Amino acid sequence: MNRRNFLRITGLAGAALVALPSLGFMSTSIKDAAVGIITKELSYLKLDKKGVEQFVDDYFKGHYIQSSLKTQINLKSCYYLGVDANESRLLSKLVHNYIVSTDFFINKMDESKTVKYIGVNKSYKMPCSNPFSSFYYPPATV
Amino acid sequence: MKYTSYDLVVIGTGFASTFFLYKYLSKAPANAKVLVLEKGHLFPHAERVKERRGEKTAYAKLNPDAQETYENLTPEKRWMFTQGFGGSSNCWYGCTPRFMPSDFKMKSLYGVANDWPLQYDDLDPYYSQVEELMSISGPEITPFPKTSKYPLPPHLFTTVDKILHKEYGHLYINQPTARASVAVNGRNACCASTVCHVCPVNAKFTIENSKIGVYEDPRVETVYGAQVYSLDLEQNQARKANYFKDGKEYHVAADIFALGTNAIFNSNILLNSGDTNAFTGKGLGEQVALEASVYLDNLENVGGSTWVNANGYMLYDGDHRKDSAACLMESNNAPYIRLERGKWRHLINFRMIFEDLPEARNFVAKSQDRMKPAITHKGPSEYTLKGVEHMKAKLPSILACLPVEKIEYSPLIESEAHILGTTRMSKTAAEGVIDKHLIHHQYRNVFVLGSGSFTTYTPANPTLTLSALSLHAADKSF
Repeated sequence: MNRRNFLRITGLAGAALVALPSLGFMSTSIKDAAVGIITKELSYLKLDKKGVEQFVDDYFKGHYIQSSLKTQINLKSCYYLGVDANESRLLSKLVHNYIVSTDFFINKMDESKTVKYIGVNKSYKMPCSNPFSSFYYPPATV
Repeated sequence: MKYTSYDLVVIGTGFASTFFLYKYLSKAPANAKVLVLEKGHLFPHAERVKERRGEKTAYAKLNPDAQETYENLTPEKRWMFTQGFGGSSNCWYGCTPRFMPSDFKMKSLYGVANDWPLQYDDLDPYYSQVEELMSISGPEITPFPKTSKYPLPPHLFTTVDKILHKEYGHLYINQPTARASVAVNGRNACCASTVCHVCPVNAKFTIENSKIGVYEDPRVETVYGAQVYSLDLEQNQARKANYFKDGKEYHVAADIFALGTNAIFNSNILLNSGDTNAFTGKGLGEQVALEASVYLDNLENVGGSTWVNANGYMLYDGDHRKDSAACLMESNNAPYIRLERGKWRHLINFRMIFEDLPEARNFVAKSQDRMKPAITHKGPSEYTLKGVEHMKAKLPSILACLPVEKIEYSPLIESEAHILGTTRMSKTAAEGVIDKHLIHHQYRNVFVLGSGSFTTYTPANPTLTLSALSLHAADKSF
């Protein structure tokens, strides 16, 4: 193999190495990335998959990520790199908002139960749903 | 407007105006003529809840967004308030601690700023009256002297609050609050939804649900959509109030005028009127706050019954106030968590609130548009920032009774949604704008109500005190 062919092959391989993951990166939606982040972060819980997807749809409605390419890339990068949610404000807010929008805390953090999504902004649709309040922890029990 | 002249014209329908009117009407003759000019409109609570649920309501567009109503020359800090009937009672969180006696004598006790021209004992009976009218929930013991009982029982402590109360007694109490602990007077009991700006169950006191009968009184005529921009001042008296309504200009005469808009618009009206007091518009301020997140080792923080369950006074009074600001702690009961398996609620968040002082660099001025005051706010005082450092140095030892893993502090929060001090109270016109009865030092038929009257800016929430000041002013003046 002469020097010219060697350079051509190694160049194509290098480009592929960069391009193929990039194609995957580009084809992954922010919804897929967000669902993946939540699922990974809470892998020790039984999550209702459809509920996670519905949460992401609801959470991103009107969210600034819809118009911020930078935030979209940030989210996807965190997903691909497996960043811990506590190391990224974007991720921690996402996971935090998901878990407080479920019945997990109402069920007293029982990991044996499937975690079901209830709804975002539920304070007005379901008043009195603060799961840490005395309504869920009566004085006689704490 | 039924008449061209009234006994009393009140501008605004928030706490300050409403409590002033309440006391005035209790003393006024049966034929008194009172005109209330309200810039906004009624946006009923039920419609506000609908809006929060994502449903459409025609009321939503009746009142302008607060940020559109003033010219912000330092936009890094916004001023939070609500327009419309009832003013900020529609968005407040219902926190009603009294001030401490020391708050009224900052100069004589600590050599800081100025003393108020009235003292705690002067206000004590009026504090009790407001607490009764608002049906305040509160504890048996308090760090401030109190001769009357709170009308409603206190809200419940969380598990962590209980430990702190056991350690500090009267310095760590169930927060006195207008979020009802039991159903009262047409309001439901608070159930810790923690979105108090619009309470989903109508538990907090508002002017709309107050049932104190001011705006239903036959002596009172209320005109909505009427924005007052100035008073006609002649020979040390106000003669007329000037306002716009539906694009037309109106003028109304009265014997007495009471400015009950917020501290930004009260001072703008006075400045537009030609008031030349050196302090009018000066010293705009509010408290400064940050969040302290305290991570706990195997101690679950649960069981409170409202938004702010407790107030801590351990960093409030003391010799440190000679150099650095007092700090009031709020134990917050929002559904916050740690993202750590098995430690979800091993956490308590405190809001640490610091007093501030009036600074000449922070002020309201007239703008090209007489309806829109211009605001310059270049930041809190050094005294306040020293208070933040003092708190950070002391908090670990104060929390030594808890199994603390670590404490994390947020940056300073943009706003406490309080607007203070542009028409400060003083003994003489050389030190402030109004006297202890909230009457302008120069224009003796003009009351300037509300938290603009504050001489200094204690860390305690202002609403109870500004309401008590309105009752006191009307009681002593009529």
